Formats: sequence, C-alpha cells, structure tokens
Amino acid sequence: MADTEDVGTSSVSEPLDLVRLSLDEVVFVKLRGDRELKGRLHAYDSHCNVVLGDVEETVYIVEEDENGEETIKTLKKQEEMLFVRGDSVVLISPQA
Amino acid sequence: MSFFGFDTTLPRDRVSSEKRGIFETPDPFAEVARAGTQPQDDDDAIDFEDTYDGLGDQLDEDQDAFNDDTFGDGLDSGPVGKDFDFFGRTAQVADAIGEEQVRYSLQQPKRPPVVPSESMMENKETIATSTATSKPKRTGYERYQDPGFIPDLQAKSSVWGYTQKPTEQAPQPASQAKKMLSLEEVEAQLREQTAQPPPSHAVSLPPQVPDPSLPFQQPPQMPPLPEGFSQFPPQFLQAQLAKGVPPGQLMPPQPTMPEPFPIPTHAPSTMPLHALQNANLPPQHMDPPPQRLPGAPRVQRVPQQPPPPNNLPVITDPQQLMHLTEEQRIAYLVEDAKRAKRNHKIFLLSKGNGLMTPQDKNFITRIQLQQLVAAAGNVADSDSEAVLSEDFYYQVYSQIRGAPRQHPHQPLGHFAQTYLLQTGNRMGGHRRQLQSADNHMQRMQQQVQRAVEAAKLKPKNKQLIIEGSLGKISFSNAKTPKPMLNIKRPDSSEGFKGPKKSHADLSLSDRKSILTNIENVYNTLMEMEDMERTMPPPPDENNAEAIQNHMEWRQKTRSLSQRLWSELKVMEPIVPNATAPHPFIAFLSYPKGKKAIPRIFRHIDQEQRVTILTMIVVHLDTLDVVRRALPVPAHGPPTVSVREAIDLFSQAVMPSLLGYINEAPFNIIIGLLGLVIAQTHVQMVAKTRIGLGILTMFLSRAEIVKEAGQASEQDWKQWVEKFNMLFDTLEPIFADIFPGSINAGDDMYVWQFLAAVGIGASPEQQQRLVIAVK
Repeated sequence: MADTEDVGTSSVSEPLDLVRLSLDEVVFVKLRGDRELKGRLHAYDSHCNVVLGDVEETVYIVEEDENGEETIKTLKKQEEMLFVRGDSVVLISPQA
Repeated sequence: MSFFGFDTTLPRDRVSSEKRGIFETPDPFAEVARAGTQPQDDDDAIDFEDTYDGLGDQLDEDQDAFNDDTFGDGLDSGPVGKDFDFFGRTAQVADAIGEEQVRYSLQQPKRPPVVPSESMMENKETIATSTATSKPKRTGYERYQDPGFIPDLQAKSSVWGYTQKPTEQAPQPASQAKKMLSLEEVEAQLREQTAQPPPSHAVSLPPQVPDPSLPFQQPPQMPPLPEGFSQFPPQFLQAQLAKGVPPGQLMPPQPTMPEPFPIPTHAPSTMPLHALQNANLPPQHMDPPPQRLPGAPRVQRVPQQPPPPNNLPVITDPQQLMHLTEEQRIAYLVEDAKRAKRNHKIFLLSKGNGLMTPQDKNFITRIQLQQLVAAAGNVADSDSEAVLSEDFYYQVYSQIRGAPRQHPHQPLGHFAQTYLLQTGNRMGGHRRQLQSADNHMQRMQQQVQRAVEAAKLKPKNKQLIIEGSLGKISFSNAKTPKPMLNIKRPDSSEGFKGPKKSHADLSLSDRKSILTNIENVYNTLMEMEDMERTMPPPPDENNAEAIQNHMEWRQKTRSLSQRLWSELKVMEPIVPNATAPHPFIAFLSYPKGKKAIPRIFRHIDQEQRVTILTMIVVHLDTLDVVRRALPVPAHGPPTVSVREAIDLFSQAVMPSLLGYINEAPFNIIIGLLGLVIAQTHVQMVAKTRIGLGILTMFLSRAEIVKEAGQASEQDWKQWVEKFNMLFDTLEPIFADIFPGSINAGDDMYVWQFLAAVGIGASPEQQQRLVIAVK
C-alpha cells in the first residue's frame, strides 16, 4: 500500500510519467524513417509502444531530380487509430 | 538458338527454347545450377554484338509466315521471343558461340524445311498439319489461334515441370563443361556430331503438334542421345532419361505409340494431381501419362514425371482414346484430372463425417451460448476473483459505467439485457445442473430467440460503439451503404487554432500542473475502484478477523476518498479577478477531466457533490465550454474542437450534475440560481448550450418541486424573486440565445429552456416571452 501511495502522491518519478500527462491529449510523435505523427494519445507502455487516435501522419520523402538537387516532398495520411511500435519512436512531445 | 551450348544436339531442347511461349519464362533455377557448375565460363567478357545477330530486330510478330525465308529454317537462328535472356544465356556459353557458328553453317544445308513426319501425321487433324507447315516459326502467339487452347491447364502444368527441373540438371554439368578441350570434351563433341543428323529428323516432330505453345519443360542440358533414339518422341525420351533409365534399355517403339503405359483413365485415382510429381508413386495412381498421346500436347505436362516401368500392364482403353478427336481427348483428360482432384478433396473433407451426433452439436452450441451468457452475467458478481482474471477490462469498465446507472430501473446494455436478466443466470449454477439434458435444446432455442429479439432492439444507428472498445462498427444496408471512405475535411486550420488559443492563456507550468492534478485524480480513482473490488464480505459478528478486515478496508477507503477530494482542488480558495482559472475549472477544461467527473461522483458524498456543482455554477462563465462556445461574429460557428468539448461535457458532466440536482433540496436550487445571477454574466451564459442547459435543469427542478407541493411558502417566494430577476435579465436577449445558424434540431436545447421558462413564468411574463422570441 505504501508503494501505491507513493505513486499517487509523487506523480513524476520517471520520464514516462511525463508522457502520462499527455494521455488523452494531442501529442506529436517523431518516428524513425522521417515520419511524424500527430494524434491523441490513448495509451502507451514502457517500450513507448503507443496507441494514437485521429492521427495525421507526415512522411518526408527526399527526391533527387536530374540536376542532383534534392527536394523534400511531404506525404500526409489520416488514420483513425494507430498502434505504433515503440522501437520506431524517437520522441513524444505534447502538442501545446 | 545457336549459342545455347549443347542444345543444338538435342532436338527437344531446341524445341523447348523455340516454343517457349509468352507465359513460360526460362527456369531461373536452371540458370543458377548451370552457372554454379561451370564457373570458368563466366570469365570471358562478352560483347553484346558478338552474341546478337540482329535478327530479332527484323522480327515482325504479325508476319511469321515468312520467317523461314528470312531466317532460314527458323529452328536454329530465329529469335526466341521477348523473354529471352540474352545476357544470362550468352554468359554461360560464350566460348561455345564461335564453334556453334561454324557448326551452324555446316548444319544448315542438311536441315530440310520443316516437314511433319508421315508416321506421326497419320492420326493428326488437318489443323495440325496446317499449323505445322504454314507456321513453323513460333512466336508464342499461336496458341491464341488454336481453338482448343486451354490456358489454365498450361499454367498449372508448367508449375509441375519446373519443380522437377533442378534435379534433372544436377547430374549433368559435365556435359556442358568443354572449355579446355579435354578428352571428355572431345568425346562429347564427337558424340554431338554423330547425334546431329538424327535431330534433323526428330526436330520435325514437334511442329506437327497442333498446339504450338506446347511447353516442353525439358532442360536443354540433357546428355546427347545415342543414335537411333531420336525417333522417340522427344518428350518420351526425356522422361525416360529423367527417370534414370539408361538410354540403352530403351527400344525404339513405333513413333505414334512409343510405349503404352498403364493408365487407369477410366478409374480416376484418389491421389491429388500434384502428387503425380512424385516419381516414386506406384503407377496405378498415375493419371494417364501423356506419352501415349502425342497428339494431345496440352495434357502433357505430365510427361515430366517418369513413366512407370515398362513391364507393367498396358492401359486398357488407350485405343478408344486414340480414336477420339483431338479436342475430345483433351477434354476427356482434363475432365478426368478434375474429377480425380475433386474426389480426393471430398475424401479428405469427409474423413470426420459422422463423428458428432446431432446431440453433440447441440451440446457444443449450448456451451458456447452459455459462455456468452456468463460473460454478460458476471456484471452482478464482479467481486469474484476468477471473474476478474478472466475478463478484467470488461468487469472494470462495466463497474465504472455503472456510475450513471445508480437506479436499478435504468436499462442495462442490450447485450446484458438479453442474456443476463432473462436467462435467470443469477439464479446460480446449482439449478442449472439439475436440469436434464432434454432442456438443452429448449434452452438453446430460447436463447436464440432472445438474441434475435435483442438484435431487433438494436439501435438503428449507422455506427455502433461497443462498450469498452476503441473502434466503431459501421452498419450497412441497401439503403445506407457502409461508407468506405471517411475523409475528414481539414478544419480550415481553425480546428487546430482553437485549442492552442485556449492553452495559450495558461502558462506552460500551469498546464503541466493541471495535467499532473488530473493524473493524480485518476490514480486515486483507480485505487478506489480497486478497493471496491477487493471489498471483504460483510463481516460476520462472530468473526473477529473479518470485522478487523472490514474495518481496515473502510479506513483505507476513507483515506483514499479524502485524498481524492483534496486532489480535485475543489476547495482551493477562489481568487477574484485571478488571471489563472480556478484549479478545478482548469481540471474541467481537459477532456479527460470531464470524463473523470462521473467516476468521481460515485465516490463522493452529497455534500461534496453540491460543492462541485456550486463550483461549476460560480465559474459558469469561465468554464471552457461556456467561454469558448460564445458565438463570435468574426469567427462564425464554433470550431470542431469546441463542439467536441461541449458534447463531451453534456455527455459526461451534465448527467452527473443532473443526477444530483434531481434530488437536491429546493433551497439549494434557489441558492444556485442566485449564484448564477449574482456571480456570472447571465446574458453571456445564456447564449451557450451548457449554460442554458444548467439553467434549464434548475427551472425544471423547481417546477417539479412546485408540482409535488414540497416547496414551503417562503422558499417559493424566494424562488419567484430569483426567477423574476433571471427573466428580466434575459428578456432583452431571448432572441439572441438561439445558435447562430438556424438549423433544425440544433436549437433543441433553446426550446427546452424556453419551455422551462414558460412553465415557471407568470401569464404576463409568458406574454413578454412570446413577444421577445418572436
């Protein structure tokens, strides 16, 4: 019981507790592979696996034309619900 | 092609490469195998010009009739088709190209124009002859001109052919290695040359075959055959060789009927067709080997598999088959194969037939239905550990969901209604055990009936959100098909600005602390809910330990409850004119804060509820759902996020408040209405849905109290006084309280409010009301 009381009173005791503050809020998630997500955080776990709702995914694609010039294209997708495996998560930030 | 290495020595090889249709790609594995066995070939750099004679450029696929004129006899030098792998092929036979060219020029005069051998022609249709003579060159398109062309059979058969190829090729690398002109190579070359004359005879065989695209799958690397064997139909020879029959044991049979094989064509075997690939199968399981049907090449995928031993009994009815026409034979064989396949499938499927009696099936169905029932019925016994471990989330959810349903009269979910209340599941298991098996059917029927009834009752919504699940299920029918695309229009950037603005007036640290508060509240809530589950049974007076347990439990619950209350920060002092909103109001500005209210209301007492209600009423005009919902002329209708917040508030918070107000004593209502008038901008509040909703709650509660005659004279006087104040304040803006857009159904709450006002108003006020609304 003492343990749970500790948890209850000191709400930020580990980094992921900060993520917890963003539960049910819109968060910005940066992923490996030049991808970004923006959506409502429904759930997360210690591996940073996250479940997001109403997600907007942005993929950045670098394209090289004949002159060797690089142009960055963005591809946007809309998803109702998304499970993101934690190993691709780079950062999670509250969308303040 | 002349640079195929050894293939010029073997008529069938040429045929196979020539005839490769557009759907038959060269076997990739064969290439790999060959490359592995003769790596020394790959060293030489090859110029493309060396290997390519340019004939392919002149190929006109539409005019194959004159290919002979263009390319000589067309069997050796013509382009193979679009799919020819120039690089891969030439790389492997680079060194052979030179000698091949020489040999080609030598062979050229010897090769007669393609003429079908008379012996093979005897039982051929005229189509066959015409195809062979007029179109000796294969383009891969001829098959489409063949009326009997059956594409699917082709594809299937070629699959079989490929699987066998690698094994055939493995033992023959030696025949291809001839770079250094060793003794073996000289021998091999000699053998080649001796074998060459016959090919000119044998080569002419394949073209008579009516189906030009006949995919002979033989690898081109077959060792050269001794002379005299070229009279075999090539596919027959190959099959024999593939099986390992030494060529010397093969006696030249009649060309038309090389060797009869036992074929149970009349008795389709139960073996699946793919099993035919297995060379070790006993011959009686074979489908008709194609060798004895040289005229029916399409069915001849099967030639790939080794023929059964020669001494086995001869097929009983090949003669009959031979007398049939080409198409009939093909059709017959195809049918036969299909039947065998189907029979085998049926056999496999029917293995388990009859294992279960109808009673068994009924029993299983009943068990499944009862498990469904049990899942729903557990709502009642949620404190049992076993139930929890089995279905934790549903139990917890239904417990939480139970909050608004404080009265047993309120309806359960349809599912629970169907299976829980009507099955008598709560009667306990013992009764069930007494029932005999005869009742199973009856009960099952009842349950199915109820399920049907429940399905009828099911809301006719387009979407169903199943309790506790995250997703939605869309229904569809003929009239309203299920929307396949659900594209949300970007809210013209307003949808995202809204929340940002509202958060902007809170400093970052405020926001974080508010979120922290919310999480703390949730922590405590979860602990309390957990406590509820672990509640010990009502103590027995004689059992000291049980009493002790119960006391401890109550103690903990009380402390948790206190913690929850303090974490809600409802009692924080109200600072007038403070820039930051009150912590509790800030708490409510987050969706998860709103969602927490029903759960919190379960755990707090009446006094705390009235405190919360008071808090909300006092801050009504700072409440986010009121403040942000105010119609701003410049911005048009409220943004999506605001509408969502309002919806959530009316779904989550209002019912809790309403639940309290419906039981609140009259004086509290009077006090609250007084607070609204005194503390807030009533005119502003009245323009919003939530504000009007709360006012409506007060008015209708007062009306109910009045009609029940519970109000004392003095209370009523006070109420009328407040009501008049409210009425006077609102009268000028009655026309403005309607939402901006005149939208049917959108202004329901306004009419509800006006009705509530109308009921409570005096006749004179009613008149003024009507005029104002007009």
